[in-house]
Amino acid sequence: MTLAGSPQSSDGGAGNVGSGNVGSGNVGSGGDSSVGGADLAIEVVGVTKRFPGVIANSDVNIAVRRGTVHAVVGENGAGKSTLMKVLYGMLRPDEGEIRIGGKPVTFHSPSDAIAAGVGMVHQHFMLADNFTVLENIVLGSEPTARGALNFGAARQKILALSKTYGLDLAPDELVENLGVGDRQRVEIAKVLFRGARLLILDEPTAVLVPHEVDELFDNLRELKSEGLTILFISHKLDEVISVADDITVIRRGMTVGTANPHSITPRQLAEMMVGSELPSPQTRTDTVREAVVLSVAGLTVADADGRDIVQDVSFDIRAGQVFGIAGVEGNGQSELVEALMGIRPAKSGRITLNGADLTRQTTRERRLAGIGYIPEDRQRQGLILEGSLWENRVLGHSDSPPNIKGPLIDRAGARRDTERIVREFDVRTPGIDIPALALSGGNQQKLIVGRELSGSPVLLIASQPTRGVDVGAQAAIWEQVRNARAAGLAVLLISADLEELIGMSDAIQVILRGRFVGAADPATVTAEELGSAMTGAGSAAGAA
Amino acid sequence: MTTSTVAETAAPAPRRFSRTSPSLLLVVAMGAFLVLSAVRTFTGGYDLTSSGTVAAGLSAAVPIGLAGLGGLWAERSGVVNIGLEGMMILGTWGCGFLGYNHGPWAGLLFGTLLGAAGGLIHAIATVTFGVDHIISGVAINIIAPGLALYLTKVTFAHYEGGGQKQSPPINDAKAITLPFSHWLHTIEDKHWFAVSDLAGLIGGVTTRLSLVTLLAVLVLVGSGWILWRTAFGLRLRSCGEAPYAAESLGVNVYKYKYIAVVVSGAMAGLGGSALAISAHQFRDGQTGGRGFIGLAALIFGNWRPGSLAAGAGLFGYTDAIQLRSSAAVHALLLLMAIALALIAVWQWRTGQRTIAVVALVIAVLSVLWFADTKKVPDELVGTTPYVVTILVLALASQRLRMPKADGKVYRRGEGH
Repeated sequence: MTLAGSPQSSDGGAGNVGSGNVGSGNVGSGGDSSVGGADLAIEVVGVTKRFPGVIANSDVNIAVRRGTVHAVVGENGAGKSTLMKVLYGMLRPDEGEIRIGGKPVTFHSPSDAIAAGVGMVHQHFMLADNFTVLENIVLGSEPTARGALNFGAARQKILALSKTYGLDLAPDELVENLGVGDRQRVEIAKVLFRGARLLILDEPTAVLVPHEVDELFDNLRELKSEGLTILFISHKLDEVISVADDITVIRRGMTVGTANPHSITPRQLAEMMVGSELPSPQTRTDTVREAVVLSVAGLTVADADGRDIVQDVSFDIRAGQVFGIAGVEGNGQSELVEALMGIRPAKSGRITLNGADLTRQTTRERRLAGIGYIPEDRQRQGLILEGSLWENRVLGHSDSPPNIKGPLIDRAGARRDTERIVREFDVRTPGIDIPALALSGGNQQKLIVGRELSGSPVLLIASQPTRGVDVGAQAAIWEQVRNARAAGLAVLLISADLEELIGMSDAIQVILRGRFVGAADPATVTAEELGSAMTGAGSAAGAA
Repeated sequence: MTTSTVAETAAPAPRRFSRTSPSLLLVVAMGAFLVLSAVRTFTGGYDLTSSGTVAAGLSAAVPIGLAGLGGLWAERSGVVNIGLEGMMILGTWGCGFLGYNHGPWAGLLFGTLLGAAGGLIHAIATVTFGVDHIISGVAINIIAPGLALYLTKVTFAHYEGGGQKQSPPINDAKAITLPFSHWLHTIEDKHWFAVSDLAGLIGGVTTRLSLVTLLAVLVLVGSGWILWRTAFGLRLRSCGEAPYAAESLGVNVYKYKYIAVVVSGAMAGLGGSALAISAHQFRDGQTGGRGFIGLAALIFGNWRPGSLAAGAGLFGYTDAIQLRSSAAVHALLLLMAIALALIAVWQWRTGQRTIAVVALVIAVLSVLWFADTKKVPDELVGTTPYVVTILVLALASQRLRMPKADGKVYRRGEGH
C-alpha cells in the first residue's frame, strides 16, 4: 500500500490519509505490499478471445488486489482493449473465466458488469456535448420524483461524490465547455454514480497534458484510498510506474509477466513490452540551413464569434529545422495550423512559403506549393476510414503523379506507390485493399506520415504526429521525420508530448491564449519548465 | 484528500455559451411590437395588427407548430423526419374520415392515429432497417398524398358534400370567447398607436379561441416538459446527441427512437387534423407544404419548443396577412426591410460581413419596392410566408445547433 505517514493504517483509513494536503511527492514511498491480507478484487483466469483469423487474447491471467492501482501495459494491438471489453461485458471470452471476489461471473452486457460493480472509463469519451455534466452522469440511472427527473437529488449526490473523491465537478456546466481533464472526471463520476468498486481506465492519459495527468493520478490515489480498485491500461511507461502498485505486461495477446513498479525502470518495462531496442526522440545533429522556408508575420485568426483566437503570431522556419509549438490544448494551436493550411481564413498577417505569398491561396494551392499536413485527428481529418489504403494514399494528392495519368486516377501507379509507403514506413497491414479503419492507430498514422512525406514537400505541418500510437510506431515516425529533416525539410511540430517536442525540435515557442509567450531552448529546457510555461505559471525558465 | 483541485488556472478559456435571458427576450418582443405599430400607423395597413389577423395567424400557426413539434420529437432522438408532410396528409384525411359523422374530436383522434402509423413506417425503415432518413421521409411524402386521394375516391365520393377530392364537412370544434373581448374591439377600431395594436393582439387571442388551439398549446408545453424535465426525455434526447454513450449506459436506443418517431408522426397527424377542422373538411393538397414549413420552424427555433412556437407564430402570421389583405402584405415589405436592416447591423457586428451586406441589399430593394408600388401583385402574395421563411433562415439563423447525431444511422454495438 502506498500510504504516507503512520504505517499502522494499512487499509486506507480515511482519517490518516486525509491529513492535510499531502503532496504527491510524499505518496508512494512505502513500497512493500501488504501481502497477507491482499484479497483479489478481480481475477482473470486463462481468458482466450478469438476473432476470425486473429487471436486477440490467448490464455491471459491477471490478478488484481483490492484497493490497488493495477496497470496493464502493452503495445497497440497487443490485445489490451479486447481484454477490457471482455471484463466490461462487451465481449464474451471463448475460454477461461473472470472471478470477482473469488466467484466466477458471466457478463452478457455492460449492464451486468455495472451491476457487479465494474465500471469502464472509455478512451474516447462517451459524453453528450450538448448536455450538462449532471445530465451526462445520471443518464440511464436517473433519480426521479413524481414522474420528473429529480435534479435536486441528482445534484446533491454528484456534489457529494465530487467532494469525497476530489473530482471538482460543476453539475450544471455544459460538457462542451469543459476541458479534456474535466471531461475525464465526468466519465469517472459516471461510473462512481452507478456504485462501481472496480474502475477500468482505458488509456486515460492519451488525451491529457502533463498537469492534467498529475491531477488524474491524484484522483486515482484518492479513489484508491477510499478502497476502490483501479485497472489502468496504458502504454506510457513512466506514468504506469509512477501510479501503479502492480503491473501486468501483455504482448501479442499473452501475459508475458508481472513487474514491480518500485524496482523496474521504464526501459526494462519497455523491453518487456516490445522485446527490442528502444527509440528516443533526440534529433542530435544540427541540420538547420540558412534558407527560410515558411515565414509567418503578424498572423491573427478569429473564431466563429469574431474573437481573436490566434493573435499576432510571427515566426520563421528554416530548411532542415523542426519548429516546435508547446501549449495546453485549446490555446490556438489548431486554429493556427488551420490558418496555415488555408482551412480557416487569416484575419490579418502574412504567410509566405519560399518567398511566395500564400495568405490568400486555397488549401489545394498550398498543398501543391509543397506543404505536407499531418492533422491532429487522423480519423476525422486524415483518412477516409471506409476507403482502402491506396484510396487514402490518393487523398489530398489527387493532382500529381503517381496518382494521376492525364485527367484520370492512375490506379496502378497509386497502388504501386501505396505498396512503397507500406514497405518504407512499415505500415503493418495484410494488404492495400483493406479499409483504413482495419488498421491500428499507429499504422494509420504511419500511412498518413508516408503519404504526406511523398511528393517531396518543403514544409511538413505535424499536429500531434504520435498521439495515441505505441512506442514502435512512434520510433518509426520520428525516424522518418528526422530523415526528411536531414534532407532539408522544414517541420512545424505541435505536440502535447513534451518529451517528443523537446527531443525533436530545434526551436520551441510556447503558445498561451493565442499568443507566443516565450521561447525555450530544447537543448536545456525540461518538460517541467515547459509545462509550467504553458500554463502561464512562469517563463520557460521558471520553476515548476 | 483534496490534493487535486489546486491548479485550475491552466484550464483552457471556456467558450462562451450564449443563452438568451428572459428579460432580453422581453425587450426584443417589445421593440418588435412598437416597430410593428409604427409601420401599421404609417402605412395604414390596419390588418397588420388587427384581431382578425392575430386570430387567423394563431390558427394558421397551430398546424405548423404541431408539425414542428413532430420534428422536434424525432430529431431530438436523432431521426430526421422529412416525412412530416406526408404524415400530416394522413392526419387530414383521417380527420375527414371520422370527422364528418362522428364530430371533430373523433376525427382528430383518428387523424392523430394515422399520423402515428406513418411515423411507425418511418421508424421501421430508419431505425430497424437503417434506411437513409431522407429517402424514407421522401417516400412517405410521395406515398401519403396518393394514398389519401385514393381513399377519398373510395370513401367520400358518394356522400353529400363529399367528392373525388374532398370529404363532407366537419363540424367546428368548440371555441371560447372571453367576456371583455368586445370592449377590446372598440379600442382596436380607434387605430391609436400601440394601444389599439395591443388591443388587437389580445382581442385576437381571446375571441373565438378554438379548443384545438388550446390543445396544441398544451401539447407544446407538455412536450417541452417531457423532453427536458423527465428521465424519459433525457434518455430520448441522449439518443439524438450521443447514442453510443447512451448505449454504454444501458439505454435501449432503438426503443427510444421508435417511441420518438411514432410520437412525431402523431404530432404531424394532429397538426393535419387541426388543419382539416379549421377548414371544416378534408381537401386534397390541403397541407400545402406546412409539414416542411414546420420543419423550417423547428430549425428556426433551434430545436427548442419555445422558439419553435415563435417560428410557427411568425409563419402563421405571414400566412394570415397574405390571406386577409394585400394592403397589409404591402406594409409587410416595409416591416421586412426594417427587420432585415436590423439583422444586417447585428450580423455586421458579429463579423458576418457577407450576410450583413446581402441582408442590407434586400432591405433596400424592399424599401424601393414599397415606395414604388401601391400593392404587391396577387400572384406573389401567396408566396409571402415562404419568402419570409427563406430570408429568416438564411440571414438570421446562423448559429443553430442541431442534435449532434441527428440523421445518422445508429447500429447497436458499432460505436468504438
